[in-house]
Amino acid sequence: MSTDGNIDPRLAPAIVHRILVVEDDRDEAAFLKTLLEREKYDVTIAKDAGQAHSMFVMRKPDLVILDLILPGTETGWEVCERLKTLERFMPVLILTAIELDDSRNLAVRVGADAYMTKPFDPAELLVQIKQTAQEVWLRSRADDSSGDEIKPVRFSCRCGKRFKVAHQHRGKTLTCPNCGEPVLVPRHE
Amino acid sequence: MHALIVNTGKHKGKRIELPDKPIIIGRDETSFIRMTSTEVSRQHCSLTPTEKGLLVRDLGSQNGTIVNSVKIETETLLRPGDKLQIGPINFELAGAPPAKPVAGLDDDIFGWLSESDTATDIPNASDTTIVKAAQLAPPPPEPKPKFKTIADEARDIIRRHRESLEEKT
Repeated sequence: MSTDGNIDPRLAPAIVHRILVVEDDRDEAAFLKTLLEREKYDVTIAKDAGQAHSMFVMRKPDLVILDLILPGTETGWEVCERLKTLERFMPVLILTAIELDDSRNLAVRVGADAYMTKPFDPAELLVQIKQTAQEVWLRSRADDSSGDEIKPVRFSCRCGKRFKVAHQHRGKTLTCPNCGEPVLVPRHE
Repeated sequence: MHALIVNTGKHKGKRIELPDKPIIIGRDETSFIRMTSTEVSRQHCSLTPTEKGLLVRDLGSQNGTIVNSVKIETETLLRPGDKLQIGPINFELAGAPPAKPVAGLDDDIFGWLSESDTATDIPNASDTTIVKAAQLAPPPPEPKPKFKTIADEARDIIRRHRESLEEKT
């Protein structure tokens, strides 16, 4: 039994030790690695989507910093979607040169927790890492205590067709039998 | 005296006369206009009649109250012709006062509701209008999704991002 049983766990800070940086630009990746290691983070670099998934499984990071434009066929949004399917409460911070609103919206839809644009202020990134981790931690705690695990997820397709699916399908995509369009099962209420 | 016209679904064109007093729209049985959709909160929004139109106030609903395609944050005046979206149903504030006396309308409303509603669904038919979302067609079509997959959408965003960079240089 924990000796600090009277302390509200939500007040405890989220602990980030290992960070996975998905960045194909060598200079950018080196800069991030130096910056983060100076702050005592354990940093792993992945250059593309394939490496990102391998590193994610092998290294089990505490937070992912993700570029959106990656070499190969898979983009950062898709990587985010897959990572979030594997680990719903993995904090994912998007760090990209894309300033389009559509990009931010899509990032939210695939489950990203924060979005920063390049060029970035290193100090701001360090703050954002802590904030993002904390927010996701709080969400995971709230989720644990609310009993959401057993509640089915209710959502609608754009065509109006309604769905009710089991909680564990959050983050997955299904095809609407009504209109044939893909529908993402919402990650959050 | 104001009236709302149902703009969507099976009951499109139906007119709901409103009293000269504030009313509430929601899922709650005490609501003047009761909607059974789960997208509608128990006390979703209030409508207060004024000389210029209806004052709409969202009552902290989960999915929001939308006036002319904009989710309202504060009290908003609904003028004749303005659109009010609550959950799956779209209403329009009628432009002219009703030609028919109100007394005759309860029967009309009851008539079109009773086509499929049971009596137990209508706790007080004289002053409560129940609109079942299931009876209505889906909400007005949103702009058609342009993309089949996340990948398609992502590629389009990257293309537009690169075009904007080329324009800058």
